[in-house]
Amino acid sequence: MKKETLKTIILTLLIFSSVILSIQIWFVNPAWTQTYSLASFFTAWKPEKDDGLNINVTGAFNSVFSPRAYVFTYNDGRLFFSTTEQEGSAIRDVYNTAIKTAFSAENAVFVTENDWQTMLKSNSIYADYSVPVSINALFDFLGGTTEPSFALTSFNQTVITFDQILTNAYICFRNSTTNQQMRITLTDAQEIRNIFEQYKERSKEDYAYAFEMNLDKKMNETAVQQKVLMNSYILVPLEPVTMNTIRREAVTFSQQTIDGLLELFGYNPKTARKFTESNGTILFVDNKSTLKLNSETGYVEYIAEKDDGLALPGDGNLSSIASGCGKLLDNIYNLFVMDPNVTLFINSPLDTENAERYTITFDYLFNGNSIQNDTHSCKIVVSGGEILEFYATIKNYQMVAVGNQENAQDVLDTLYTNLNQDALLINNLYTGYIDAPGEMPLCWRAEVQGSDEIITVK
Amino acid sequence: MQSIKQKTVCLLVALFSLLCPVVSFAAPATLAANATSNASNLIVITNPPSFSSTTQQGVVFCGYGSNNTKVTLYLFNTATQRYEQMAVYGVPVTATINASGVFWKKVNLPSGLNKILIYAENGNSVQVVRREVSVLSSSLADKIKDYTVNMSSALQMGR
Repeated sequence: MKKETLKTIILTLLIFSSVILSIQIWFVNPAWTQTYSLASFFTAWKPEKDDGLNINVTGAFNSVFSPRAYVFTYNDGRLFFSTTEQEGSAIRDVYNTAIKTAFSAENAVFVTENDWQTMLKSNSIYADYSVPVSINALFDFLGGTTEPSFALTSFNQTVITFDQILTNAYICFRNSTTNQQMRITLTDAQEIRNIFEQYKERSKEDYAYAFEMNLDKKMNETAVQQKVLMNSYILVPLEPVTMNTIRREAVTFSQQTIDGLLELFGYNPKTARKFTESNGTILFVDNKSTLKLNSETGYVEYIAEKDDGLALPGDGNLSSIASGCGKLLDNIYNLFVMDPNVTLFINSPLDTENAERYTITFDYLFNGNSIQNDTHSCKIVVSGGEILEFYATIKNYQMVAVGNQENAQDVLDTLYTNLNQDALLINNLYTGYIDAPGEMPLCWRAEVQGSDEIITVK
Repeated sequence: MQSIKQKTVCLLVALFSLLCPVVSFAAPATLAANATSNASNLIVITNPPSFSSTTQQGVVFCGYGSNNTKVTLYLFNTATQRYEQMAVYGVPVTATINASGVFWKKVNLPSGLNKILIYAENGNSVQVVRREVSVLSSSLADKIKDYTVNMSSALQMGR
């Protein structure tokens, strides 16, 4: 072969390989994050990465603008469950449809607290959102057709009742802070009525609100000392409650998990600059942010330098911010093997729109019971529609044993004895876990007037 | 021999003396229709009110009272004209009030007028509180429902 022909062949091969390499670097596996890639101009044709959920294990997205718990009341029985259970998820969609219907109604009227209590006592579905929710933000989130023009701007509780006689249905929104209740007649309530028909036969558990027992009222009797008053809306279990025990389980940061985390935070796993700190934390750095991962503690931290962070989809309003944070968390937790009873629930108010900066927090639930940690399990700081700070401690829990049964009456006795006060006003009483090494039994938690701390009743 | 007999008698007397307070603390199985109190500072019943009606058979009796007070529920039997201890699966419906003073018991009442007596005892002190709860039958509730529906239809036809 002639020298010139050989040179031509070699040159052709070199040019061809450099073109292939360039295509690799620009389009297939960018060497830099997309935000300042020169090639981003050329990737407009590239299909959008699917940011939908593969498997919604932790339910963080589903907890946004959703009730945390439902209480069905039918005749003298009740059924209580958290939205983290499978059935709660099914009810949520139907409940949201009823709310969308309510948004387009023009018959909203303010009612009294007495009316609210009457609705709670009748055949009804009560939903506790646990955090204040802006009605406008909820409308944005649900995608309603007619923007509501209600005098009530935020709420944290709702109840839907069914008038058997006149076949009407009503939904009442309540803001427990301002003690305002707004009732709307539902013009189309067939779906929610069907759900109620499904669950009413199971409503046989024994719960009573403190107001039904009049344990929330100061009596005029002076012959007997009234030592304990309860918040009207504490749902008192009349039968013993089973106190299960759980245990923290280790989470695994495999290489696949780490690569997945890097991609979720906009890093290229192949080219991210990596350092290891003295405590074993792996630090990734790019020009705009840092990402820390500690496999031993499950700690994940993302901090954007200056104000150029991780963009959330949507138009930067409260609804898109909260739901975007929920989706991101679900995508993160999908990288780990989690117990199905472990879920995340949003724990920050959703009633402030158009803020410059939002701090969205989530905490763990196990089977609907809260798990208290020293700090929030997940905290996300958002500004201008971008995540500037992200802190999370990835934890997994598993049930260890079915515990003893405890009566709420005994709990009140123990609480009163422990606090050693003449009179107690109990603002809240519920069951939950306290995160700790080793086994964690379900325990009773109380919020008492005059104390900022949540008291664990032992 | 005589000293053994004396000791045995003393022992039996002592045993009998110990048992007496136990007998006197147990709530009687039935009470007369006009049973009365010798104290008024043992309990306050917060629910149900003195006279009430409901369509639900399950009624929560609750209230607050003095520490170590034992509360027993009785239902008036028109056949015997006496109050008889209520029981669930053979177990008397009772509650003991402890430190917080709060107590509650849920019972299922039969349809119709129910006269309830709440018996509270603490040592030698006894307080009785009476309640009347009418449990409306489902057929009556349906009649009210039908009447209301018919009235509603009639009103609409008349428009």
